[in-house]
Amino acid sequence: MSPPGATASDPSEAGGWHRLARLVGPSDERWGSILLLAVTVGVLSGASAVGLRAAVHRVFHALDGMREGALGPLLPAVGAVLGVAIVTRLFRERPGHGVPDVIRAVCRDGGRMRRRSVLSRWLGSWVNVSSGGSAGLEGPIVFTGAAIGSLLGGSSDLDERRRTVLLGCGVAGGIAAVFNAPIAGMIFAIEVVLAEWSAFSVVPIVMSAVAATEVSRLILGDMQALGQATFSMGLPDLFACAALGALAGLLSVALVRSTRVVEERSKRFRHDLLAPAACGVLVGLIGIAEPGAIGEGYDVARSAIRSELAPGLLLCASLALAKLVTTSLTIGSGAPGGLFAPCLVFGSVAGVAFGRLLAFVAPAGLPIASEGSYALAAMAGLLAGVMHAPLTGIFLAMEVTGGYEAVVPLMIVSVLALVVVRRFEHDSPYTRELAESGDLLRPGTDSRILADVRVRETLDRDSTPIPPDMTLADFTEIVKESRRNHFPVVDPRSGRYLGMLELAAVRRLVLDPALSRVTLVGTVMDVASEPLHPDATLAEAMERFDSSGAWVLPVTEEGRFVGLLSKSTLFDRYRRELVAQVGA
Amino acid sequence: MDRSEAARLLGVSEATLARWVRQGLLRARDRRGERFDRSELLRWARERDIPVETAATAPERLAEPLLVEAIERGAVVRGAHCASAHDAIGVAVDALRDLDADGRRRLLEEVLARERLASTGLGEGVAVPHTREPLGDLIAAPLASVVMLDRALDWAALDGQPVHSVLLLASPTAASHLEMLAQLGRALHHGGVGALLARRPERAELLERLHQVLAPGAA
Repeated sequence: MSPPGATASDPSEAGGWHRLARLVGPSDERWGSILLLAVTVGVLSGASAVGLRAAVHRVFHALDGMREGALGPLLPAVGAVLGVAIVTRLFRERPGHGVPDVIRAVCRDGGRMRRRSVLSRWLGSWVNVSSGGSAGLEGPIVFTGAAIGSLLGGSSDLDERRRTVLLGCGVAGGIAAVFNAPIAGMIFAIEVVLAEWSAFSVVPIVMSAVAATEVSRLILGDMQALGQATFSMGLPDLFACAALGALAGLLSVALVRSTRVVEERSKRFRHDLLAPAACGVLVGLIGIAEPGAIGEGYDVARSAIRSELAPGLLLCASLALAKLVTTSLTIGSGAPGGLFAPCLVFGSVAGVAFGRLLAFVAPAGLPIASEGSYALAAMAGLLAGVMHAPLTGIFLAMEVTGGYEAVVPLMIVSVLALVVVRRFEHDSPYTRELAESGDLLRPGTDSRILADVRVRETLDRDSTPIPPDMTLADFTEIVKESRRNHFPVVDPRSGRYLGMLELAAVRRLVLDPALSRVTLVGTVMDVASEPLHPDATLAEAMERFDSSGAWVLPVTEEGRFVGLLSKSTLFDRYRRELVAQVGA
Repeated sequence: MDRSEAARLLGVSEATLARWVRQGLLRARDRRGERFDRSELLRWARERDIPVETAATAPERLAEPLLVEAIERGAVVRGAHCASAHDAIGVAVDALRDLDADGRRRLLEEVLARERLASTGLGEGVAVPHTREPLGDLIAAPLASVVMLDRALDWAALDGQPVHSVLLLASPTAASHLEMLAQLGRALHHGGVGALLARRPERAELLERLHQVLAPGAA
């Protein structure tokens, strides 16, 4: 193949798509269709995201009157119960915001999601967050976007890799549209959901993020999601940011852990709708004392970065604490809602508190930045720490405020927060469950292939079983007819597997006519290698090969012999699967 | 240690080892990548779960004359007077004083059961009764007892000749059984041990001959 640069100027090459395709990667006829699909996914996921945001705002404010009434505290409970019921009863899906389910689809299901997922979290989070649940819409938006991408990919008959990229396009489109943040959408899809940086995935994802952003700007206008503010941080502030990074890390751990505590307590309720009801009531009660701690809470974050939050260090700290508690209650109880908004709001309030503390202790005359600047930096830190996604933290905080001048402090806070978090939490809330069950397997990786392929698929059924009472002399006759070196010994009456006979082990005896006639197969067979089950994964089979040192292992099911697995077939199938999943 | 020793330790080729050094996966002690520190290699392998071929992990060698050891642990009976193969096997089992009464009873049962399946008469006047399956739960090391009969017995042997010597083999594993049989084959075919047994030699003479025939290097 000629180098890409040469083909780009090749006049015989017809079609713009082909030329573009040659520029970004190996020639592939489907580039055109995938880019078109990516844009479509972007438009649809963007529209769904903007639509959800608008629907929530409308209902949240329509309920303002009721919220102040006597039954106000019950409102979040009703919303949470309804939200969970919609997801688990109407759509029969697992509760929660769904981002782990998206990552599972990428890791285990070839980017396939169910059709109904296009609606489930959208409706569930609409009801839950509108009524005051302390959660974000972004998780459900990510889930919905991913389902849209998977649906379009499925109906266009794409392979796993392209379908997975389209799923990522939906994720990027949703985040890009809801925050008017194309870069953050793209980064989140790549950093958290796909974990694959290649032209193959980046190109469609950028297209989708761009399309979704334009949809959002057409409907809502082009403005920063949290409103523009000016930030200026000097050298002294960078040192303060190191401390803020550590604090953001600790707060991330606190948020993740307290959510997990609520989650585990919730599982003990006898009925699965009792936990959201009880937690909802608590959220409602906290909302009376701290109205800023319920709902999505972007108004609070907006005031925070503009340094317009009500004065007082303690007041600010208590708001942060209240937000921590309401978020844990809402998300931990399984109500559909995401982590983005709580991270941003909690982070911004905590950042303001940090800024106020700093102003209090800093020596007079030292120029330090506004509390709004610290709010911004802490938002990035919380996003990075909670999601284990430093790049998403940096770019999202930057894009929702237009605060490019603060990018260096954002970088410091994000990475330091993650360093602190990693000491306590090995996985993010998105990936923890998958990692624990051994399902966090990115497409095209070695471990994914070894976990995908089962022994059953690589079995060699073409072997000659021999009975234990056969003499080695008779066995010699079988050897003459066979190309194999390994023979399973099987009880001819019951079909039970008894052991293995390897030609090399008995070579000296089969060549001796006298000895081979007085020796039975059952006496000299190898009973040491423990059989594999057909459902074992290739990873397990490899481990067994390593520990036993065998070249060929017997495979049995309920004691009956099914076939042999050899190292050479295993390698052969592994290669084939690699080519099937990744492409040659 | 040098490159070839290090490669052997890690169970890879020297070329692989050289590539690992080039890619910085593994550190050599010198700049040319030819000297390695043994303890550092072992630590490196342990951190990555790479199995190492040390003396302790190397598979046990069966090259020693196992048959000689088994007879030394077992017994040699000269001039037993037996009326049948059944009797001769009984004498051979009873001579194994390493086993307690229960063990000998079980061994006898299993050897007779195997004998019923097919004759163990090897030819040249020698029979090798043994159990059908290894006796790993009964014995830790192979045992053998040699019984030289006063009067040759019919054993339905392959060559139709009567049997003058019975060599009972008891093995804990299939591998040790295979090894003893192979050594016996060599002793009979190349060492003239069949003819020697026919003369009913002293225990010391028999063991000396077997040792000569089976010692590593003697072919």
